[in-house]
Amino acid sequence: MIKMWIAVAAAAAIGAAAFLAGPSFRPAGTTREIRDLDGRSVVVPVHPRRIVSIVPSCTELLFAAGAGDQVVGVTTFCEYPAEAVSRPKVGSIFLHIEALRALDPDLVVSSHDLAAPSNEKVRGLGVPVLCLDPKNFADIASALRLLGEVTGHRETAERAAAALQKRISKIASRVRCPRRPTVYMEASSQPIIAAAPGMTADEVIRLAGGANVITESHAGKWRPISWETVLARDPEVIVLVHEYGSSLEARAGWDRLNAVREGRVHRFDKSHFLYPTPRLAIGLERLAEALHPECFDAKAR
Amino acid sequence: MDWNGWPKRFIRNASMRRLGSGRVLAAAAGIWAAVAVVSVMAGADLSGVSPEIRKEVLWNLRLPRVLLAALVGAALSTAGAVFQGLFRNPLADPFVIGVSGGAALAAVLSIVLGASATVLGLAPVAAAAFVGGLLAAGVVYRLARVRGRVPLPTLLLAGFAVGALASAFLSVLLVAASRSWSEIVLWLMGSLAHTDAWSRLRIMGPAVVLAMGLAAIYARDLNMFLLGEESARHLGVEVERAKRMLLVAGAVATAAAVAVGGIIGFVGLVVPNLARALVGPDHRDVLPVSAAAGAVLVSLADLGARCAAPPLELPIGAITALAGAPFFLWVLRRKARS
Repeated sequence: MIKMWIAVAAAAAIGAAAFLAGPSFRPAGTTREIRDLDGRSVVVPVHPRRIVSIVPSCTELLFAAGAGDQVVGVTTFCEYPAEAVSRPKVGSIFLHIEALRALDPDLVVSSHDLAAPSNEKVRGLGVPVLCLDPKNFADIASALRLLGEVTGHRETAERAAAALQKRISKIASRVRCPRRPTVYMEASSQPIIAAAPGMTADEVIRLAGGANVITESHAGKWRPISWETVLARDPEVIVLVHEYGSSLEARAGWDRLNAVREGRVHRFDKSHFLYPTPRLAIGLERLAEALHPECFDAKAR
Repeated sequence: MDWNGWPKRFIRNASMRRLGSGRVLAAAAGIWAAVAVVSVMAGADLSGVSPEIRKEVLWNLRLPRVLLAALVGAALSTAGAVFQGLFRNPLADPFVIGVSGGAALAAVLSIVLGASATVLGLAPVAAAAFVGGLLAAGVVYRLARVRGRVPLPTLLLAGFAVGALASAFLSVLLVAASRSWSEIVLWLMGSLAHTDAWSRLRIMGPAVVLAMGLAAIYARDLNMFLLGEESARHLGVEVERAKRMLLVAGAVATAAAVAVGGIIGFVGLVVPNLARALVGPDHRDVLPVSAAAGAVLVSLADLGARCAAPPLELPIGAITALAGAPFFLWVLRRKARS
């Protein structure tokens, strides 16, 4: 009996010591209040040194804004840029909250749309969460500038934002074609989801000189649709930005689609279309060239 | 659980006034035809669409989809009726002998591994689910067999255990492969939104029909099972053989349904109970009425899943419960009162 009590007391002592020796919260006064892209106020450290990103697109934005060296933790899904891959991991879409805590972050960068439950957990640890949900190219530039401001890399971020905007206006100046082909862009086949108004991919279609056949929005997200809707709207161009494309021919009516008969089905790397980051400009260039080869040929000659 | 009281109660009910199975079948056929017509008409706006594409949508998407729904409903309900009769337990459902667990595990594995080869024109996930379901049932049967006999309670417990094992592996896979999450979850919730419905019908239709035929052949033996295994043996039933055939029928029907529609709950549990409440306990009536009622319920539920909240497709399992549970409760209470 006494032995047991000694064991309990020892365990309690070890626990208390571990608790006291653990990372402590930073004193107030070194923080400031900022507003994110959606106008929410966030209290962030003046000089964040240990940033953890829990969403792949945020990781990409942080590195693009010049703050890569301050990023101490990412997710297993963060595959770009290459430097990010070797950073310590804090989970996949399931956050490993202990791994995150152990990294002792002073700022977590995340997305409100994609990771709201995880964000709540992080806030519960007393770590500020900055959410970035760009919905178009202007937002991506703003996100870069905001991150530059927050992390102390204003000039690098400004250069990145300006470069992005230059790239986009270059495409816009090339694509001066009077006819906009109708475009259907699919991001997953099970379930079928398509680019819809209010999201980055829809803007990519428009800037590339196309007209999205999906005209109903889905709260700024990829819209689930039925295959019969695609058949009914019979797009002139089909753009696939996912990996499961083997069963396309098995889809009822596939051969009858205008785009299939005209050979205007394009497959692109999904990483150039799915994430609201500067790489979206690559997607825009590829799509513009696919939609309007004539504009690009003329330029080459 | 009152294992013995249940069949007796239903046998007593047999003497009560009940509907003829012919009338119920005719009513079900009529309702299904109406549901089918609405299902083929309802959906995306087709005005201003070329006649070719319109034909494609009606004949190659909507029609096979409602047929598939009927097939899945009939298969699950038949399997449910077979297992409830065999185990003498109104809570038995098509998934008791581990078919759903094995099918789900195999399907998710094929999704995670990115299988892309079609089997006899069948999508890889569907083929994997069919084989996985049958494999799990085979394992359960083999585990439960002792000295040439398969005690039913052992079979039931082995089914639960194998099912639990499969779902444990499934959870691990789900976390390890969170990349294919939406596809996996969609499959697990059950859906009939296929763009290759005809090829699914071509393969699974005959399988289900064969299973239903096999169950029908053994319907009389199933009646004897209601009196208990021993009594059935004394009444001249070749008990082990009948058990094996009925298990094969139930397993094939379930595996086929799961392969084409994912795991759609509730139907296989409730429809046979509903059928018994309508036409009494004789399996020569219960089996066809279950199949017909299941076909109607799933077709109706799929119409709801498709059209209730566009652009989202609701999980069909939720709709089957939503539509079927209140109706079942109503029948149950009416039955209890009379």
